[in-house]
Amino acid sequence: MKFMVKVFVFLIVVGFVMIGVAFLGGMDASRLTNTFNQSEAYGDPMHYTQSGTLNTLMLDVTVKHIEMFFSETEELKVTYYSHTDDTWEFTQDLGVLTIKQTQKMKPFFGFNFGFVDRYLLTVTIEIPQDWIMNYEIRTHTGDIQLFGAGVTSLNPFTAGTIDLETDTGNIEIKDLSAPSVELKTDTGDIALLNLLVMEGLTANSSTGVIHLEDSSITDVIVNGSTGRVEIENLDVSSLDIDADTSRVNIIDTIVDSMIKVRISTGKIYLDQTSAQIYDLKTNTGDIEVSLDSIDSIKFDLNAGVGKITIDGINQGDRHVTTTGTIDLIAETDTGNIYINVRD
Amino acid sequence: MMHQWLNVLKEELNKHFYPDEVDDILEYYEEIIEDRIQNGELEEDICNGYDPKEIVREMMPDVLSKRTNETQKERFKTTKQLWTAIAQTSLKIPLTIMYTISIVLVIAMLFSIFASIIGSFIAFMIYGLDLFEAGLSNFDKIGMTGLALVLLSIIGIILIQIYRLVLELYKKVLNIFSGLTKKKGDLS
Repeated sequence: MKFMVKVFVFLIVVGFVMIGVAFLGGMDASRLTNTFNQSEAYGDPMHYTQSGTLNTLMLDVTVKHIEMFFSETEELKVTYYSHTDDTWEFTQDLGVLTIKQTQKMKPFFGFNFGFVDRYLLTVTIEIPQDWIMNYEIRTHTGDIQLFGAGVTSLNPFTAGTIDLETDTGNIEIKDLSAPSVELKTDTGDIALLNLLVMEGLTANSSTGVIHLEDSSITDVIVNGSTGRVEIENLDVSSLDIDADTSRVNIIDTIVDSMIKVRISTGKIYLDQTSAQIYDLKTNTGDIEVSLDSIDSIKFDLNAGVGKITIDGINQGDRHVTTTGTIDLIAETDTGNIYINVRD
Repeated sequence: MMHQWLNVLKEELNKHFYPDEVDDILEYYEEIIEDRIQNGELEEDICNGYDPKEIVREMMPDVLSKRTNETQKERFKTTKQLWTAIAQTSLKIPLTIMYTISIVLVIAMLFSIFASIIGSFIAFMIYGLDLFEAGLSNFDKIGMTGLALVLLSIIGIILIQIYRLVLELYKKVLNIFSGLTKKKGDLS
């Protein structure tokens, strides 16, 4: 160890000598910060325009952010910046526009110290607001945004089916209506706001937060692993949440039929949320449900080694009732169950 | 008879302990046997009353608690032997769990430091490759390489210091658990 420390001290001295020599030789100090800025490897913005109506947009890129938004334009406009190592392909066939970007592989899996301004890594797609397209969008590393033109009764569909996937990045959709939506990210967050989804929505995220707000959706399926699931002000037919280590918050939501939540470790919290069947289960964690009234609730509660409290009254670790039209099934192996009744 | 028995004991002790530890134990038993002979007991009866394997088992916690664990070899040997010694105490299940968790944590820390050192060197190599592709002048390359050397060396020194701290922690863990094993072994 002492030998290693001596080697490192020697290298520090050598390093300082090299820096000194470099400055004496005319090294520009700004090099220290700008050398690895790779922005120069990107040229001017490139444009692709599509005037004929499309039915499907397929996009597959590597390290790019994708920003899609609707506007009053007549043509679909794609704006992107191309790196010297990039290859872009645009093909259009039978109403399907396919955009594919690949990158030349470099040593060490392409890892380098370079950094690039975000806008150079962003593909912007401007979509005519009356085009109803299916979206199949994939980026390996980058965020995906799809912003609609708003959801109105006169304009019930602003998109066809939506299928978005990113390995490392966030997905954000808002102000949009679509028949079905499928989203997948490994380490990023998913945020959905103001959506009208006529069929089903599936959201998958391993470590990110899944947040759904102010939307009307038929069937919602959420699969998470370690991230939080937050649902607020939703109107849905059914809600199915499955996660490993997570916290599930469902607030101010109307579910026509069933809420099903399955998590291994974490708390389930429901407030101002109505359903015909509540089926809630966590192995380790509390379950807390706040209701306006418990008159029509048929309870089947099992707290394992914890306790059950209904409206402040301790019910032990098992509580079953036989009357009521709304089923509330809640089970936790290690945790407490709280049923709160609002005044 | 006594020397013959001491040879058998030495053979058994050598399988588990270091030479200086073996010598201490042999000396201890030699004294005990001599004292008992002076008190009128028969040498043969005394020797037949001791089982070398049992002596190893009984002496293990005491020997481990005295061991300094300065070398890597000593630390590995103590780590392994402590598992066996803990299993013979009155609190074998909780102690084994706590000991296993502690050892796993320490090994994970050591592994992380090792990975960080390797990672730093790989990063330095990639940095060097990027440097040559960046279209710099020779003096710029020298200056940037010097800067990288300084940073790499500072990181290296920091990691070595962390490594030393973790080694101390490792020794402390072995020390604590061998002490506990001795204490609980006496009670069992």
